[in-house]
Amino acid sequence: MEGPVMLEIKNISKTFAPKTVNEVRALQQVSLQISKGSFTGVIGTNGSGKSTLLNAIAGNFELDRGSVVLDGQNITRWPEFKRAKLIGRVFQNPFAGSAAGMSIAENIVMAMRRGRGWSLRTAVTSSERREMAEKVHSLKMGLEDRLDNPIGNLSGGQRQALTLLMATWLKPKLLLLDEHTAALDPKSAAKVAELTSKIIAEEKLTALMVTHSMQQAVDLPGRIIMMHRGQVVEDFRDEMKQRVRVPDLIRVFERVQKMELFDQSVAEMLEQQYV
Amino acid sequence: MQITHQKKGKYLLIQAAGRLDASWSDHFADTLLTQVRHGHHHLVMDFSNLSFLSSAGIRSLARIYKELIQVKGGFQIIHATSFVDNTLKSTGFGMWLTEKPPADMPVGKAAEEPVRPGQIEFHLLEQDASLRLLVPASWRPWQMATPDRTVVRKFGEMDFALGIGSASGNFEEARDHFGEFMAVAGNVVYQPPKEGEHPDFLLSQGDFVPEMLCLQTLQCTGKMSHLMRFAPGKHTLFYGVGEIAGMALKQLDADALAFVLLGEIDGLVGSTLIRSPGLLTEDRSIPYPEIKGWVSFCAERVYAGQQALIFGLAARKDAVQSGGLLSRVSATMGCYLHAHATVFPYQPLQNGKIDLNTTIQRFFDGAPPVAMLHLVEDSRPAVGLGESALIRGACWFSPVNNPEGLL
Amino acid sequence: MNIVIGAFTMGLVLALLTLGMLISFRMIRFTDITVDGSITLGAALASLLIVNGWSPWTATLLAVLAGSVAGMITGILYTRFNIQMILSGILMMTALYSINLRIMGRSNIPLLDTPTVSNGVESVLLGLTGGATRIHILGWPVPLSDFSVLVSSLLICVIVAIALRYFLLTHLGTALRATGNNPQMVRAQGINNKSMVVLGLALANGLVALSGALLAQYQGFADVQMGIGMMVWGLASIIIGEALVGKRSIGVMITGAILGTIFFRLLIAIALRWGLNPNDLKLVTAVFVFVALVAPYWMKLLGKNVFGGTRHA
Ligand SMILES: Nc1ncnc2c1ncn2[C@@H]1O[C@H](COP(=O)(O)OP(=O)(O)O)[C@@H](O)[C@H]1O
Ligand SMILES: [Mg+2]
Repeated sequence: MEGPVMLEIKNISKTFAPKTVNEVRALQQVSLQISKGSFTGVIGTNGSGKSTLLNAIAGNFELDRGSVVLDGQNITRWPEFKRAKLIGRVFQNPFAGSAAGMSIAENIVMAMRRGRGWSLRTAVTSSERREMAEKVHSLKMGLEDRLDNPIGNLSGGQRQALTLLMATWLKPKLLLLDEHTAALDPKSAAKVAELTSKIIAEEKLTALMVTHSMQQAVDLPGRIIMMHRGQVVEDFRDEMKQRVRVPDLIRVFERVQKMELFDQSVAEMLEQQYV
Repeated sequence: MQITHQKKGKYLLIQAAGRLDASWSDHFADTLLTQVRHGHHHLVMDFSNLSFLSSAGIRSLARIYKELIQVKGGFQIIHATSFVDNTLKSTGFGMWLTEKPPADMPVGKAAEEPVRPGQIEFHLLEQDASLRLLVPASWRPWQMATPDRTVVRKFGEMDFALGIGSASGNFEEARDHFGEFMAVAGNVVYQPPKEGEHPDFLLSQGDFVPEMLCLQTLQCTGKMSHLMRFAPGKHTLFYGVGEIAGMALKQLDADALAFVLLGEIDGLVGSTLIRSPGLLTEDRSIPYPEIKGWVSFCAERVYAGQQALIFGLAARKDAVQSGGLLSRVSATMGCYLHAHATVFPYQPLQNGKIDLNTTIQRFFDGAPPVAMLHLVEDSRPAVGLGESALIRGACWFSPVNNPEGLL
Repeated sequence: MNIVIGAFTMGLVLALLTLGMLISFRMIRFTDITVDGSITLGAALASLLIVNGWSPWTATLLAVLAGSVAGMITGILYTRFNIQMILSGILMMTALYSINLRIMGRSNIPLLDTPTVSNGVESVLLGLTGGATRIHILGWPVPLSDFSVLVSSLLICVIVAIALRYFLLTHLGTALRATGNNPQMVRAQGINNKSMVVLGLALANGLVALSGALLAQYQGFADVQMGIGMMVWGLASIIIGEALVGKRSIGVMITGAILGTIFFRLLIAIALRWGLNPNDLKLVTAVFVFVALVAPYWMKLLGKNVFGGTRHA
């Protein structure tokens, strides 16, 4: 039932501030295959490297090691803006995905031309405006009448919904969502989450979503990977994914945490006591 | 709504004022169930200031009632206002209403509770009851499991055991599945050697007698001679498992004993096999960090507030020479010990002298066990978690009349 | 009247500088100190070429290109070599000081009786007036040469303003503006935000150099010191423009920048007329910009105290 591979990550590693006291091994030999049309949830404790994994795929920094192949193209050496032609992104911060000082239309028009190079034609024309209004109407937020308002005047939820729409305007090969509902109030968060599922299902997108909500991860149709200390420590897929419930995920978290606290002194103590 | 309570003899007098409706019923039930958990099993509810009672309120009363019936307690309602009186009578709960407080409830202001260091009482069950010890399999870490090191054992109503084993019938099948188990009066709980897996269990029912392929077993057969009840007092808030075993040893004046302990958990400290010893290919020692793949350690005091069923064997420290299958670290009260614990969701225990089999049966009939641990005393300096402890509960114990295998 | 004409002309010439700075300071939000050097570069190169017999138009065009290159280098220092924004500008400005001296060969090039870009307009006007060298505006006699400089500056300024507005509303211009707003977002739309910064600075300094080239032709000389303080003047003009008309849209912002510069030149002309020592001009401007930058904050504090106080009283 799994489609062909859309994203293949091989042995990627990234260490921040290497050889200093602040050294962080944010990714350690991570390998991952994401099949076309799948919707994968990424969970893990704070600082486990979830965002770094997404940043590595999106090309925010150069990797220390490893390769990233997207839709058959080796994009390991591509700069971030070039990868953006294939990858749509929504960040946790609702203000990160749009230019606050510019109008809704101007923001969207950039998304409509993503990856098509520059042009010296007027950006927002009436035909584009019509296309925009139609699609923005589907958000049911009444924004289609306010296309010329600065996007900075909108609420976080509205901006995040628009960012999502922009990220998926030209069907990306891969959609990266980094806790994109975490900074919203509960009602907006639910709305954006619903919109996310709808768009991904309708457009049959391949998506990777970091979420702090285990319920959200469990409810995903696809797969769940759990990260810890820069490694993928668990991968629930297929029948396993069908079976997994929130308490199971919590138990895996606990297990990982227990492993962490199991040090030499525990080993010595158990040697005395485990009979 | 306002809820106050007052201890009056064996009764707890509850005064509730206001409206007991949907918005307050959960709070009301939780408050009273906490009192039940604290051992108050006879409640008298003074409803003279309760102006309203809705169906949600009745349901919360029923919830409390059900819990109390389980522990042979109960409640009665006095001074009900006419509205509450009518409501209860017309919904068929008139039997809760009484005219007057029970005759044996002291009137007037309650005397100050005497300050007690802790509440411990011993009951003699059977004067000469004792247990016979059998050690049919004695695997030690980290020996390789082989068919000749294993033995099949049946566990009937008179049997108590702990060890490492598998419920699979033959060695080949069992190889991957050796894990901790315990047997109490014909009920076997075993933990598959996989992190995060729930324990499974086998119960004696009709002709069925649970059977395990054992790699390591300490088995006792016989009856329990004593029962000890313990509850927190002013100065003692909880009891360590070793401490309880120590008190029992003192009570019996014996070298060794076996005990079944059932009580509300303050915190458990233990470890569990997460990889079957059947997968070892030679006898060897497993160094750190490889050991992390074979046993897990709880890393913090766990399962507080839930109920533990523990079976253990203990021997007086000065009587022990080699230690056998007892932990070689001295427990708090000067005894050596080996104990396994099964964790169940909380259920209240009846006060007083209670029967082992019927009490345990209630747990096996209820929600399934959550976890199983081999208890350890984490004696590491500074960071150690200490030993497992219970807040209140019951401990049945009996001397082991052939303790040589332990010593 | 001559003072007013002069202030208007000066304002229109320097409005080109303000428009350049509108791109760097407001669109890509780059605090660009190159300005002080590139305006001189434009003036120096244009003067040198004109003195050597080049057509003033070609000279001006080459000056614009030189200014763009200077801006590009600042941009590359910032984006490729990760040098801080201000420092990139300072490095380029310092380098330009020597380069300008090299171009001019001395510290001053006078442009006496050389052709300028306003010659064409002047001959057209001469034809219209029938050879009279003075015309009357509101009853005041104005030399035709001065008036033709005013008209040609106005023409250039209007053409540049319209072209700039068009450009900023194209796809490329939109991307450029977004870069200053949110570079992360721009990258996520598949646009190289670094290229946008380089492009923005090239455009900005091209306009600044254009302003310099015209300024040299208007005042009749190029001086290696002429750029000092120009950035602050430009900033003052932008601030005044925003205060005058706001910044609702691109067109409004461009109009504001032009009006702001003219208004600022008028204020200076009046102040000088009232006896302000020209040497104090830069200090006064600096104080003005300082006040303009912190005033909104003070107003807010003041408002809070005043209204907070009365409410509790
Ligand atoms: N740009 C950076 N520079 C230095 N350290 C970083 C950087 N980005 C992330 N880290 C560190 O890498 C680790 C993983 O971070 P991140 O991927 O953001 O975790 P999370 O799973 O919470 O998203 C953290 O310890 C974080 O501090
Ligand atoms: Mg993160």
